[in-house]
Amino acid sequence: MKKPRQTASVQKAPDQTPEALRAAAQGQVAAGRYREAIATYKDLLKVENAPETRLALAGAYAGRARELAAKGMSKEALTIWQNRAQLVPDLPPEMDYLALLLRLGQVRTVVDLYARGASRLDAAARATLGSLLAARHLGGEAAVAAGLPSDDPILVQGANASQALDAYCRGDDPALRDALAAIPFRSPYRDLAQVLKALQRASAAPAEAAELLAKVDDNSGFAPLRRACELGLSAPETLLERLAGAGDAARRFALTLAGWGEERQALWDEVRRVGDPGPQTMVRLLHRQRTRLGEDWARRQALRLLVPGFPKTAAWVAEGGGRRLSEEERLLVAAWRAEEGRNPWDIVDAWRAYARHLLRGPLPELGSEKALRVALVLRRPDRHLDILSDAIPSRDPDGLDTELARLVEASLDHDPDDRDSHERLIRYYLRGKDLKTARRLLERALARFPADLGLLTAALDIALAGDSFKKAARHAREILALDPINTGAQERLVKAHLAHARKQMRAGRLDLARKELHLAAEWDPAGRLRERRGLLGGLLDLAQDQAQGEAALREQVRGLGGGITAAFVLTLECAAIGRPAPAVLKAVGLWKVPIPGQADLPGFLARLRNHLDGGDPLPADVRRLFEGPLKAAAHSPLSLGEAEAACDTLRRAGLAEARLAFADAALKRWPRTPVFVLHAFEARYEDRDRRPPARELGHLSDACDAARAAGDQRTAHRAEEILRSYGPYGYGPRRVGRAFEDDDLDLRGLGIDPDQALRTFVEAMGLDGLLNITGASPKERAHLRQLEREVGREGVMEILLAMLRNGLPDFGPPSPGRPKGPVPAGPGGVSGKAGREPRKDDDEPEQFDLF
Amino acid sequence: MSDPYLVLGLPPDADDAAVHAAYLAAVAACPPDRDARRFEAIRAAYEALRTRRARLAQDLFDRTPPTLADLLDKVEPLGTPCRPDRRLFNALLRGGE
Repeated sequence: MKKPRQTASVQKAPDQTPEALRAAAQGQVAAGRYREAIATYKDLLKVENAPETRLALAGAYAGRARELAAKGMSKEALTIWQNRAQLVPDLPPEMDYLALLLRLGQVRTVVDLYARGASRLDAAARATLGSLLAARHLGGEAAVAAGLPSDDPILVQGANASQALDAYCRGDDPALRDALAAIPFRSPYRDLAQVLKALQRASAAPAEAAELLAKVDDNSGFAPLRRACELGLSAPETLLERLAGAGDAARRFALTLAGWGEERQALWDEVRRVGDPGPQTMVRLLHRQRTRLGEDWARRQALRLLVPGFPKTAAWVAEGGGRRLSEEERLLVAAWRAEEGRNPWDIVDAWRAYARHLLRGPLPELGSEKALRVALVLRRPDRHLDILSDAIPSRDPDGLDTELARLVEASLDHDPDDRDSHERLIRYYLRGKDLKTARRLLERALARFPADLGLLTAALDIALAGDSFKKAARHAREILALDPINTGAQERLVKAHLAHARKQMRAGRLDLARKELHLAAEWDPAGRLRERRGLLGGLLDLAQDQAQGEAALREQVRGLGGGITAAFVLTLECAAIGRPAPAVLKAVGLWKVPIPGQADLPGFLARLRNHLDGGDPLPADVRRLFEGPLKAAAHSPLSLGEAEAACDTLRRAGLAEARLAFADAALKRWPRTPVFVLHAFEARYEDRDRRPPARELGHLSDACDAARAAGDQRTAHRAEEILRSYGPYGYGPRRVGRAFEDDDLDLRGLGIDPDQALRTFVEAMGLDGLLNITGASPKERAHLRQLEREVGREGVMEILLAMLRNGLPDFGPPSPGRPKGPVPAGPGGVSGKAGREPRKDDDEPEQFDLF
Repeated sequence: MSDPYLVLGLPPDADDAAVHAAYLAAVAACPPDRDARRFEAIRAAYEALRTRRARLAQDLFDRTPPTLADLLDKVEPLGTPCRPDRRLFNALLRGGE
């Protein structure tokens, strides 16, 4: 059953009074219910045909017409406007009615209304209507001229406007200026003048052009032109986006204005027909447009679109009408796809397969494009994974680094002129002390690049690493001949001579040590290492002539201030030549190591840090000598920052008792400061086989919370790690990296602290090195970089250390059998290919007591 | 735009000299102080094509999928802003959009 149609007038009540009907109609108009208002006013007219009622009904008609036009019901809106005009013929036409008529192509009707009723319009409406008809007239609409008197400004000034437009189109700027000058200010063509001026100024003064365009009102007859100009003058990168809602005329105009040629516009039209192109549609488009785009280019770009879903996407090319992928294309896209994964071996295998394909048939001639392609492909896995730049050779024949080095070396057979690859390989082997291989590669490289500074520096380093000091000196001279201000080479050579002198002293060959010392002096004219040379010279004197040596050393010690710093530097030199320091210290008047005063302490700690930064640990007998005096200096009035730096330096030096003393002293001054609670706890309990009392763990837990609340993530994280290790499933007081918890390898038995060894390794590798050898994905790298910005580099290193200890899944424990996937960490840093199958039982036990 | 040949307006067989000349012309047309982003793109394109090895590496290892802008530029590079003709003006003046 049909639902009865609702009538427009809900309250059709002929018995209502005129006042009630008027009030109801006014309420409906106010609420925007024009349809109902029209019906109510009609009822009112039946009982009271007053002029004001007719005007009110005309107002309701106008409201309804606008409502319909806004819904796109143009014809229905026009009928309502016509009803309004018939109801009150004297009413001036509304602009919306006229605009609608123009939109519907009834230009002549508008012209007639303009001619008859323009005088009834207000000035603004008259100007707007004038611009609407002027634009039509200029655009070639004959009805305008036909319906207007010959003296109408639209016709009179139309000739000037047309001349201006033609002058702009043909690029005749003087004529354009003249024609624009002839258009009066109150002309119906005033907006055209603004647009043309804007177009003239667009390239030189875009902001001024935008201002001129903004002066053209939305109701103006020249508004469509203004909008198209704004599109065409918009930034090229947003043009396509802004064109989305534009019509054909505006788009053509804007694209032409923006410098788009016919071909470009034609392709864009096709793309628009396709809609938003996904990769498969793009492949089809590339094939269809291959003649325009170029066959090879279109094909190559299509291959790049296949990467994300390869090999499934391989069918897209044939589906789009192209020929099937060749074997070479398949291998290339497979290699690209492998690079998007995380398994380094997939990348190696894919590029090796591609290189093998390229090498089918006769060997490519050196220098040919094919040979270069082969070389580049062979180098690609290493360049992409960036392993050899800082990897330490694993010496594992199946290791990733070994394979990459093999591929890079093979690439040099096809492209021996790539000096970077030569140096990369040489440095890699040098890092692993494989001097034989490094020398072999160096010889090959220097034969091609005899005057290359980088290769000569590598040669110097190889010579120094092999204690070939004569050869090193020769290379240093070659370097300095090419680069006279190369202080790095000089300094390395001086240090090497000093190291050699110490070696000779340990062997008792004092004359040879003296010779090395002289050579060191020769290469150190600027005296950069004078202090160390002086101390070593004094110790050499002491070995040959006690009195002379004592005098020389006293002089040196005096120069160093005579305090704990002098004692420290001298003690380090003694340790380096294997001579007990106490006797030497005594000989130079330092009966015991002085307790540093407030003035000495910062200098001493800076020296200590400098020594540790060089990568050398502090010898045990040096630690023994300095622990006591440092403990005694713990109450020096340091600032909070200095105290924290002191604790950290003492931690790095392994001076646990001094560290504890400094942390306790700091806690007296700044009670419960988290970082000092942590230092005190670590110094007290690290490396001791006793469990801390619950009270101490409670203090540490409070410090952890306080550090987190204060934003000190590094301290919070370190404290949390310690607390976890003492938890019910923790691994107890022996906070040892699991990487070093191999039953077959008792590092502690060898006198090595596994935790410290892991820390030293990680610090030596640096963040970049560690990320490289762990095969961290770009996303993981970005995450860690973000973390670095938040908690600092030290903080990130601590987190990485914790991850290595705990073997988080993303990076994995550095067990030698970790297969495919990211390259595991560990000395040597690369996975063995032999262990590429995953082992399900690789998981670490969580309750160590049970195993 | 991701294709360095398109950035510098070079044919695929351009040699070192052509690449260098195109780079200098592009920098002269768009110095860094005028449009830093565009200059960066020009610089990156130059680095990608500077040597024969670099050009081969670009061909072998660049897996950046083409953008619509690449296709458009390949068909016909963007020209200098152009004055539309009277026909295009008239279409808009008659109310067409």
